[in-house]
Amino acid sequence: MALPVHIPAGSRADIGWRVGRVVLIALLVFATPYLVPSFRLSQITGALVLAIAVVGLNLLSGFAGQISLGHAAFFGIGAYTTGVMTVKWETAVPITLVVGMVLCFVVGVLVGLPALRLQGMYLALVTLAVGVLLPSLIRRFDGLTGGSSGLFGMEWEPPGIAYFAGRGGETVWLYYVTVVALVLACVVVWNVMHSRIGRAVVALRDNEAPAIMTGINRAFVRTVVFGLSASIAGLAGGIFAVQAGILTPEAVSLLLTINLLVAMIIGGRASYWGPVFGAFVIYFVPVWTSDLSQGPISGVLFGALVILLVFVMPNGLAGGLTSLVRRVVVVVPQPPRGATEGPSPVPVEPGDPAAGNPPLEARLVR
Amino acid sequence: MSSLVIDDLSIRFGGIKALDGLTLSVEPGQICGLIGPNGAGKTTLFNCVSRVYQPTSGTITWDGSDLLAVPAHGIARHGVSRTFQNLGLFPSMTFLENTMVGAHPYGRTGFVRSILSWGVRQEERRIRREAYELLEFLDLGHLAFEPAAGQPFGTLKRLELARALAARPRLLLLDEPAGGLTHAEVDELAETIRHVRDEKGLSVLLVEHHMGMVMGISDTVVAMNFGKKITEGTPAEVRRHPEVVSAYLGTRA
Amino acid sequence: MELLIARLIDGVNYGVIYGFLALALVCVYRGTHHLNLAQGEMAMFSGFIAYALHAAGLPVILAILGAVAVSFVAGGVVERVLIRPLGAHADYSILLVTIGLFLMLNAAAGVIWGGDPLAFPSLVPDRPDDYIGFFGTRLRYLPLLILGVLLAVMGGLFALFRYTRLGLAMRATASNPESARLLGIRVSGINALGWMLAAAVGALIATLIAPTTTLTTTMMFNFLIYAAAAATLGGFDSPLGAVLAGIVLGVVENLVASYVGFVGSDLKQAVALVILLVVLMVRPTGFFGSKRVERV
Repeated sequence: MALPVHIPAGSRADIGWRVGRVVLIALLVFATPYLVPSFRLSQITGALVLAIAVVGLNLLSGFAGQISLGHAAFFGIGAYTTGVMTVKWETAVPITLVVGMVLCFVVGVLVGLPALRLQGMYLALVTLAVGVLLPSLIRRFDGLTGGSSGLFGMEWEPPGIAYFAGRGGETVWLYYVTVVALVLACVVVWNVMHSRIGRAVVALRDNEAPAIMTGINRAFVRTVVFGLSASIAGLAGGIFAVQAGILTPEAVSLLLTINLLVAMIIGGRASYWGPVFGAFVIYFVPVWTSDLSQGPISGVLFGALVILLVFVMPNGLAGGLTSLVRRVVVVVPQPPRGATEGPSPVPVEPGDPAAGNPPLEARLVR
Repeated sequence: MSSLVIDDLSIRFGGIKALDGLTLSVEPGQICGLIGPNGAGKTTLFNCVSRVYQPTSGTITWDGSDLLAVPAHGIARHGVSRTFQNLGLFPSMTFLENTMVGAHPYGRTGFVRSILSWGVRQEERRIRREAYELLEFLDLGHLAFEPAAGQPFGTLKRLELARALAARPRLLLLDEPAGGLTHAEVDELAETIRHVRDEKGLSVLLVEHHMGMVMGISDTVVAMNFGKKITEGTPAEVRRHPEVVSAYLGTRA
Repeated sequence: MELLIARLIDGVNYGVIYGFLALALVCVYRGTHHLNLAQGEMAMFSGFIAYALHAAGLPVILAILGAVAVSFVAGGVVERVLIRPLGAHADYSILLVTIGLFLMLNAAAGVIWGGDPLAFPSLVPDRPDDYIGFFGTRLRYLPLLILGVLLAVMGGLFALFRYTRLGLAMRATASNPESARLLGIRVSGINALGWMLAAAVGALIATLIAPTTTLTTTMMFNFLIYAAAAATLGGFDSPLGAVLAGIVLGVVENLVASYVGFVGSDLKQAVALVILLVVLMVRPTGFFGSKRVERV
């Protein structure tokens, strides 16, 4: 059998290919708690939480093409909402997560509004200002937030099922909660991008004026995307609060924003898997380099990596993976059934961007 | 019946009056060509009709209602579509996807429905099929899954036309559609525009410098200079009008 | 009254630094129309280079000039190697590259010189009783020197832009790179010059403020935020505007922090940020900048 294998979209082979991948991932997810020690599982959960935040950022910056240098602020709002509500008012964690997400959505829309009038660098400045403002506000209102000394004691008790019993129980519980949240976030983004709204988002990114002519309400689409992206980051923040158990203003500062941005680049902008890859790299590389040598080396490495990726691999790790997979399997799009004629499935060279793309996958021109 | 009536339209940019009391109308099913030297105000007029600019005075009535009350993103729903001089396509999407964007006003999926994936699959299937049929109508079906970049300019112009048609317009605004095309492509385009008008029964207002094409397909021609209308009439009448001749060729010294 | 003047002067002292760094941002912007997020870190690194030169035996003034010269060249290298290859409209990519540069320089300084603050001597006497009396407050020599150098640099840049052919070429390039290129102006060289000037200015600031702040890897970061706010307020393509805005910002921030109890010191920076946000909403091109018109 010659590689790559061409599968017509919508055929049984295509469905099998899709189901097969889902099954594989599901197996990996369920097997992990059994394969790694508890502290490692906790680290993996940490990386997954970061991944959720990057999914949010990627929706805004990757798919919608809007620069955000302050996404840590939304993460922080979610984190501190959960933190304050559980510690001060003993609210149940799921409720705090919802409240945090709603709050982030509103703030996201508010930030998105001025963003409508600003491009490029100026938008970057607005988001930068917001991102730097939040830790200051947290420090100022220390009566509520614990200020610089931090907020402690957040946790999320697992339900009383045997599976989560025992000392490692909370870790496993948080792992699954995070996995579910990540899957939810990814599904939401996928659904949005594979619909009329997703096309509108990409159209606005590619060429704004003509997009408006086709009837797309720029103000509405852009601000809701901002809100949604903020909301997802807020969810990540909320889970972070109960996973880390401690919150400080430094944890949600510009440094976090930079980490999220770097994770997004490394993983690959405007991709669905990219945020996960990127988050794992960001989370684990410092862990490994601190085993090896001084901390700051990882800073130099990251900086160099970011620069390198911008030049060499603008589609990030996910882009690299997609190219590799395309050498093996290519899904060939089919003309809609009921149409008069169709193009015959033309065999294409591996790496040909036209072949087998699900709509709107990482095809950034810039 | 839908007609476009522009009445006494004026717009100033700082000290410059780009449009000065312009009046013209496009009857249903008519192809109206807009000619004039550079700087005459043709694209400015287009931009007023497509609501990119807000005129300082005058009215634009489309299909009996005030078009000036409609924001830029609302004209598609009112049946007005436009193409762009330098192409306004979306390079990271395929031909099919670009065309599907054109159908935006006819979709019902908003954020909530898309997140919940409620009714999305059916709507996508319908939009996809209709867009595909449109591409075939314009002889672009074989390029449906190609990215909308890296194709010949003439082909991309036809794609933009497909996208404009996906909005089921009753008025088509074509901004220098022949710009950058070869002779053969221009003839093909003229034929396509006529075909589209005949099949879809819409009105066309086109700005064009290519005299042969404009005079060839237009039912009426409006000549502009310095933001004003010089004359209007059939192609033959306008071609002979002394002011039009002097606007293009100058006067005897 | 004396307290008010003292606070005003304090605000001006800081404002001068903001304006100075904003000047560097403007230099880059005039060339490549981008915000160089790494400007602060480049300046910080230059400060450390000055330290190294001084530690190797050079007198302070030569160490500073040496660092300025090295930075001047380095700015050109950065523009040539990292920015130019990305092309004209890669807004996002350029921003990311400056972030990468930011990370690298910040970490590299820590690796090379360690994490502890380093002392750097001042060019002018800076002992407790070195000051000029002014209506009951003290004008210290070092801030006066910084102000003096800033005015000299501004004067130099003004003369450059206004009275030299090179300056004219720079202004033409900033206004319309395509036309400038067609006129035979080496646009890429001009862009590089913008970065080189910015780097040199940054080196100057860092070495001048180092005696007070000590050399640390975080010394410039806060100033960058303020500088960005100042450049926005004044207009990214106006050197004079940026400097004036910086001073205004410094004064306003200090006065608000002192007299508005709610603000206190935690929210001091927030004042600048709020001003930045308001300006961006109301008049994004700043008060002295020029609007960019886009044709549809």
